[in-house]
Amino acid sequence: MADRDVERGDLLQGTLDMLVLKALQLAPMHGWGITERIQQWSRQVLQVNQGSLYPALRRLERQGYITAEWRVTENNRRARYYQLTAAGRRQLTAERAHWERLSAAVNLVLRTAE
Amino acid sequence: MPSVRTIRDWWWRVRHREAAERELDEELQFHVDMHAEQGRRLGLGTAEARRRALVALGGRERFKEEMRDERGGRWLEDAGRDLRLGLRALRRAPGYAAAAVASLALGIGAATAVFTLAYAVLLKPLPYPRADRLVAVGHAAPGFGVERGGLSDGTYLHYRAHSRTLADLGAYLDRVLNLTGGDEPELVDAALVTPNLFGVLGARPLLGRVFSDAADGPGAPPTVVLSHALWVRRYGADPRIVGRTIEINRLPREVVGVMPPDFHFPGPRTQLWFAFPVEPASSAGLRNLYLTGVGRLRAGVEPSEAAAELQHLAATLPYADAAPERLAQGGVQARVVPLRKEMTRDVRPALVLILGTTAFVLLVAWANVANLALVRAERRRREVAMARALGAATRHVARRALAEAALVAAAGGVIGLAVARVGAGLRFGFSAGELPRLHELRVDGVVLAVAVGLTLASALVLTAVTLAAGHGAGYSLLRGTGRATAGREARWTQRLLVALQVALSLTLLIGATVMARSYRQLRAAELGFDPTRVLAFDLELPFRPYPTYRASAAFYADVLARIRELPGVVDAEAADLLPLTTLPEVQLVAVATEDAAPGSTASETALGLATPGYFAAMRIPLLAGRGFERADLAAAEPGVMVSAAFARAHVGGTTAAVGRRLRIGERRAQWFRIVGVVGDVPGATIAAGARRAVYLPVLSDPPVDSAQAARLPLWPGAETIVVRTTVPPGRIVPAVRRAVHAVDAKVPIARVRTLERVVDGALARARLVAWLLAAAAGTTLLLGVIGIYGVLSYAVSLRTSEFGLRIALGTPPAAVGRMVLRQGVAVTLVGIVAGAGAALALTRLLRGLLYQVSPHDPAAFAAMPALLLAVALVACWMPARRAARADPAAALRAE
Repeated sequence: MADRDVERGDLLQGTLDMLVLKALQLAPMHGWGITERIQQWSRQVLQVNQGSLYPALRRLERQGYITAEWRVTENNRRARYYQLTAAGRRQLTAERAHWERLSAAVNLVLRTAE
Repeated sequence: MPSVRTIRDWWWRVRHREAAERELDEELQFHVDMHAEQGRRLGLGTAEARRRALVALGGRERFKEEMRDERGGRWLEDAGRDLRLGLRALRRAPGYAAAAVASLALGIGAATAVFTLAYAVLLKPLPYPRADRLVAVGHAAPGFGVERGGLSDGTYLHYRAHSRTLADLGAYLDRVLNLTGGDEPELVDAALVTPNLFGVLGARPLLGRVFSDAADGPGAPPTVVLSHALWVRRYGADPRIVGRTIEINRLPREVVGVMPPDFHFPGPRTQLWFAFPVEPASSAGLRNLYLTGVGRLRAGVEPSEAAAELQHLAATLPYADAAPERLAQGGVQARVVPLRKEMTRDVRPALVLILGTTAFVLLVAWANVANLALVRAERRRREVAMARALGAATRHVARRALAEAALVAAAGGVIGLAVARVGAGLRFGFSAGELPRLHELRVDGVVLAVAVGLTLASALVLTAVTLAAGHGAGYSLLRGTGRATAGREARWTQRLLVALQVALSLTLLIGATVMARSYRQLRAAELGFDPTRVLAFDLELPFRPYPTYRASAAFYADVLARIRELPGVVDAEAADLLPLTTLPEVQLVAVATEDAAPGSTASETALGLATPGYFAAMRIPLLAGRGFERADLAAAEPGVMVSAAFARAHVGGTTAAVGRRLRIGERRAQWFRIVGVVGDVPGATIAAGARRAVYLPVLSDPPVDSAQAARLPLWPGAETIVVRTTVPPGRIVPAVRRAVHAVDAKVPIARVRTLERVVDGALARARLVAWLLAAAAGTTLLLGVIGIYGVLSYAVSLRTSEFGLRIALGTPPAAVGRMVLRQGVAVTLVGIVAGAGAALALTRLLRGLLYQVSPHDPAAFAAMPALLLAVALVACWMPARRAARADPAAALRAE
């Protein structure tokens, strides 16, 4: 399923999924934290829309790339934390390779046009 | 395919739906709180931070929906919800729900029930391995008066030896045998079978062995195979029965095997099998086609190819009586037909007819449900339009419709299947002899699949109609006056459906009327005898203690004398040519009359015996001449009596018959003289008409000597005793039994019945067909009337204000009523014209089942349309009256 999404070249969705997986690569994190992290890492360029994020999280969960559990934050609030699974790690590697190939190709095209 | 994990996940979701919803809310709440917190840190006021967080989140419900969509198992949850909503909606419309469920239950129930019957009897493969290769083998020889004959010894041997299309050929012969050697002698139905027959069928025994050519060929010791039923009933399921010797017709026979309980061949009443090896014949015996052939085709051979081969083989029959000109004279034709078809040949037309009728009922039920659904859909247009305006996708609307339809169809299907099961349990009122293969009747997987299929089809029909009606329900409905008027298209569909219903029910009404009239003709048919309070039973005298005419006649005289002395008995007589009885082949003979041209004979004349008092006891009138007298057998030309039908056909009428001479059987020199002519009685069936019969007397005083007896073609052996009583005949059975056993305790009494029951039985099939058609016609009429009424009522309810306006503008109320009436009548008339046309085709199919009624019976074709029109008028009248009473003031206020 994920493969099909990638092949379809659905940049937006595929990209968001990849970014979410990347954000979870180091440590488990809740939805808000994922938004924050992506914003930080992209130096505020990428604004993650919550309306897309949460459905994406459910989708990744259903695909078995991430798992979720309720934990307590440092501020003592209950939050739903997402964690990368082994399949998720593999998927991240694969999507990353695909992305690099794709962006390289796009760059190549753009440069040639100049 | 969903993986196990996914399925578990779905299950979890469904089980924990509320928990999942709570989690969803909590997670979003957390997000908003964190966002607001961040805003506060950036220096916004608490309220403003919160507002911005909420705005950022956007349409919360909408994306909760999206999250739910992303979660697995969504559709399962939705299906559950749709079904619950559907149930609620149906509960709010109990009238619609009841009418729709009842219509479908009726349609599906009738169709499933009749299919169960037709499948078991007509379609299901016979319970033998590769049963599709089994064929019935025989001949037709119209030139010899044989329409459907079997095989003779000569043809059987020749075909079996030389056929290449048949892997093997067996044959059998039905017989009634006398089981003796127990407490009570008993007559049982048996089959004499060629030793290879079990092998041809591929049947295996439960115990012991079946016959084989090697062990049971000509000259082998006599053996017998028992049916499971007989083994259990008479021998207490004795496991050591194989090897034991039992007595049949007072001769010992060794039991070599017992068949399993589901083996019934050739019929459900067959209790035992004799090995009957066909011995080398001296002639082809083309007129003596007494064996029923059962062959097994080689792989890939069609019955028609086998028939062609046998036809070719017939030309090479090595017998003197099978010369080419003889074959041509008899018009001898080999017949090879699938065994399944041959077994059900007699009942096929009736069953196919009933199956067709049921299809009509199902169609009418569907039309009715479609109409109900249309009306309902019209009422719900606004609801649907509203749902759409609020963002429900087309698929959501469709799913709701499907859920509701599924509920209605499932309820109808369950009730229908229950009806079919009950019907199958009761065997639809048939008794074992009336229909072949009845013991195979059950609601099995195939029947279940058909019921489920019909239910699914019903659900689809219902959904399609609902959606088609709802289609195009646009936003416009939400604007303006809010009056939902029926779409032009929907109204046309409704009228078409009503016309269809009228047409179908008229077809069935006419068919049912024609059948009912035929049944009445049958019932009113002159029976020619009086069956009231007459007991009948069969006795079969074994040859050994009664080897002579004289001994048998004396036995019967003694038995009859004892029965006549019993209280409540008026008459007791013996005969073997009873009305409504199928005669054994030996009693159908050729009779030559005195002045008939040589070679022309009255073939297929029924020959039987009767005691002198038989005709009086049966109330069969003497039309000419006299009854039997004591000296009739001692005369040089023994006296016989003939039926009026015989007299008319062969000796120039009733009065001319008396005194004429005739010869009985081929190549017999003995002359007989006709002393009297008696009234006609029907042959095997009422519809078959009067029997051409020649009766010989059973006389015991003075005793018939052996020289006299030798001249007779028939001696008393197996006779039927008829006892006319003043009390209910069943009551004297024990006394009669004692009387017979007082004369000879080893003679069994079989087939005790009353003649009233026999007459009933003869009418059974016609009655059943008439009843089923009448029931189907009544049902469709009722459904049709409901359809007309429903559609007109609804049309009127939509146009009430229009009618009010018209009245306000000066149209007389009666004219408004007439307008509505005209509409209903027009639809009905269209249906009537179409229905009458279809009925012409249907009754033509009925032709074979009719007795003295024309398939184009004018009474039925005139009366039924009139009846239907009258009923339709009543159904139209109520809505018309309502239209005429529309309140003009209310209409004016509303506009």
